[in-house]
Amino acid sequence: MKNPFGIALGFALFFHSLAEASSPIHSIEISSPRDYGIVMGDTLAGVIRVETETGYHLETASIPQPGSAVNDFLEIREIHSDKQELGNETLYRIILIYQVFKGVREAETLTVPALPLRFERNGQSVETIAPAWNFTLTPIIPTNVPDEAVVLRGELPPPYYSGINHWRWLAACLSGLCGLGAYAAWRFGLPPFRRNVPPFARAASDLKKLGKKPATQENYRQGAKLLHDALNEAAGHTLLPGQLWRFLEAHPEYQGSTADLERFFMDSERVFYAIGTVPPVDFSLSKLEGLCRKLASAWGEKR
Amino acid sequence: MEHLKRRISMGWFYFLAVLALGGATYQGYLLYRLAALNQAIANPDLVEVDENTLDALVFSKAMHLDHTGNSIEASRLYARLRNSQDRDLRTRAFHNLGAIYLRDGAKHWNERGVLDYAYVSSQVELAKENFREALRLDPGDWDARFNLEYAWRITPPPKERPKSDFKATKPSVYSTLPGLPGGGP
Repeated sequence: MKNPFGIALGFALFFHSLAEASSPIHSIEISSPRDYGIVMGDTLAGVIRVETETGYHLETASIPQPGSAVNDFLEIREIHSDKQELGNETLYRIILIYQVFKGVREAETLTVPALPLRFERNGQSVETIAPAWNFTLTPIIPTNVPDEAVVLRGELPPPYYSGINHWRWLAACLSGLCGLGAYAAWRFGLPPFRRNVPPFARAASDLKKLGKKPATQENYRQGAKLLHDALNEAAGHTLLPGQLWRFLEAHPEYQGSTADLERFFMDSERVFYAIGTVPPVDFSLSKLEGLCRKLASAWGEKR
Repeated sequence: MEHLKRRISMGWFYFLAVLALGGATYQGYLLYRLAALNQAIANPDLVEVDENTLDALVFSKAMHLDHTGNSIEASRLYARLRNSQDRDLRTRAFHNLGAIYLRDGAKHWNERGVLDYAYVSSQVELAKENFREALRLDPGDWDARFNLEYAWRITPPPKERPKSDFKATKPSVYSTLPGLPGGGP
């Protein structure tokens, strides 16, 4: 025993390494994505990584709760944790989001205190400590401005309710209504889709509907008016009986129906201007419809 | 029969038409109500506050009272909004309440300094508490950050406890009692 001190030191180192090797906490480290340029009200994150033996679970009761104060200027806002199995080790990652409430006159280094953590396996608890770490807090108000010269920031105004979502919904509903209206117009042949239908075809369609009604003088008058309207539209003006020849000269495609048209004008004059006239049996609504279809096909051929 | 078939096939059309019309009417009604609310917010002097008054109108009234010099009543109304369900409105209320306390505390601090120690301390602490709550709700409120830092700057240092010069010892205790001559029986 020439050097008892050296032997004792050797034993101490040996037992220390044994103790380290047998500890279920293999490593613990803490880092922060940013520990500088922090100002009043900022949030800062501390990321703790702990490697433990497999089977150890983090005791959540050992972690402070969100909203709790760490000291007079730090509060915990959020806590997230996850774990990952790495062979015979478990890696725990605990992210603590702090919010700082301290005002300083010039940049200061502040300390986030150490955080004790407990892990448990089969009722056996083991504690470790995440080390304290520092960050730099910077003032918002320029250092050289005296207190009396600082202009306080004012109040926040009352909120303005824009109702943008309601406007969007209203626009959507109105667009839907417009779409449905357009569909209805197309479906029922209403304007603007009616314009594409040739005048005689349209009159023929209306005469067909009218033909289902009783053969009264009033209905015949309506039918005659439909054909007059179609002729007026084709002529581009109100077509009177005396203008029929000029119209047929200008529109030779209708000359095949000259006799029918002459008879129609004669009957029409009787129906509209004679008193007590009954519907002419020789030129019924179905004949009017037939004439319309003939004129419509002539109109279509010309196009 | 054909007529009936056509009616059935158009059922979806009528359903959608009723839906769109109903939706448009309802949204129009909500927009009308919002416009009325904004109008009332813009004219706080006409607002009569009672227990059924909407939070936004209470806020508007509180701000109006503060601007017209009645900051005590304004503080009372802002304090009522601390439990509002509207988070944004709650943040604004805490911010403005903090601003009222800080403005008052800063005025006394700049005019009288430590002579008004107790008053300045209490006003600044109330301001800090309210700005902290505003920042908890909305960390992006930079005006609250600025004002809270200023509140820290003007926080009076802790008052020192007055030194006690009294050093009593047993033989001298009689001399401190009035009407009892020293060395009496």
